[in-house]
Amino acid sequence: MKTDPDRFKALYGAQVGLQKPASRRDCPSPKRMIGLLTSRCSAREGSKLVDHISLCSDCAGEFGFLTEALRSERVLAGDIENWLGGGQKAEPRQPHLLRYSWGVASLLAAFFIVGFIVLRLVILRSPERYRAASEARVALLEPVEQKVSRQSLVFRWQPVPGVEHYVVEVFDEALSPVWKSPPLLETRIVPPDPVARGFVPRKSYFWLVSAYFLGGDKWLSPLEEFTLKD
Amino acid sequence: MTGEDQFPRIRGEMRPDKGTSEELEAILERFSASIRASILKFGLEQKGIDPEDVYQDIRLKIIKKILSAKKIQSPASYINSVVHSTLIDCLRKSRAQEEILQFERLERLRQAEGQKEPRGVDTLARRALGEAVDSLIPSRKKALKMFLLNMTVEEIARSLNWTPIKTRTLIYRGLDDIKRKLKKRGIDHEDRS
Repeated sequence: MKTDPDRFKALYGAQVGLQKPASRRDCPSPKRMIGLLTSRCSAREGSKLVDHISLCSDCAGEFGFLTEALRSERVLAGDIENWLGGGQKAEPRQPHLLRYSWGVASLLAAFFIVGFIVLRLVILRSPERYRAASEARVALLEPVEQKVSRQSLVFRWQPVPGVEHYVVEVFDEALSPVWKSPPLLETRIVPPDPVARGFVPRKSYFWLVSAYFLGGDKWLSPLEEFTLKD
Repeated sequence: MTGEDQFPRIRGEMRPDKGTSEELEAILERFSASIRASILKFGLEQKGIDPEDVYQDIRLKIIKKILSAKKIQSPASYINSVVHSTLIDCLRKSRAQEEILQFERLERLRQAEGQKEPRGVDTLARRALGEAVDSLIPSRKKALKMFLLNMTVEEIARSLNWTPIKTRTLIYRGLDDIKRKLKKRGIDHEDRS
């Protein structure tokens, strides 16, 4: 069984497709689904919606449609803005009273600061923080958010004491695996020529290192981005 | 009818800086094609959604606004609201129609239950995957579910107000977790190397 993300997506899609509810009375409204797609719902509501969608083939179909429609809408909005020309975008008509009014600007700034503090203290009191994985203990040295030339592409990371071997993995933007190294004893590797030639210039790639221990434990590095210059 | 007849007010003060009416029609036609394809892809035409109705509704509102006397202050947000409200309306109508045909729906469900599962789908792996995803920690589960529902990393990040790198990391960790869980259940895999 191939475990690339597309395979998982196909299996998961098939699993969701078989979840047919008898009634749609409990289904979230299309407006709420659009709210999720446009970042207009709380983290808690978002989780509930995603859980429901993954258990209801009807909602999953509608959600898939809305996702694609909103992608098309972004393209449409960009195309129409270009069609209208830069002038309309650059000079939005302002109400007369707001023009050049430093008083109003200060008032707005104060409003935003107070709003931010209230939001932080009241609404986001228990924000869902990104939990850095406890196993993310391998530090990557290079390339880290860098543009590198194909010739100088070398993956380097900090040694981890007691490690049996390391494995380097490279992914594309969609997290599809691009390359996986054989088990390595050193803390650097130059990707083989055919692999390096396969990297597309100016496209983002992500890499990480897994450190394997004798007892079967595995530590992971964070994912780091790199781009080829040429 | 010529392009000039269709868009008489695009001349003079309302004339866009660069575009012609034919270009606008071409832009809208491209949008129409993608909306139509999405409706067909998700089988929504069987639920009473007519791709042509959706497209014409959006097209007319946009053209009407462009031809109106006012300049468009923020084209993107206007298009945004037109598209969203049209999509919400069409899905609401489709659901209302489904409610009316609830009896038929239940009948179809009964028939579907009697049928065998689709061929070629690895039932064991499919179920195990669903369970593995549900057993993830909440943040990974949410990100991974959205990813498996065909959203891109950027879309998930935007939707959840996360940075792309955080989103990508959570998805990667989620994928790694479920690979391990599947392996534990004897559903082995080979990585593409």
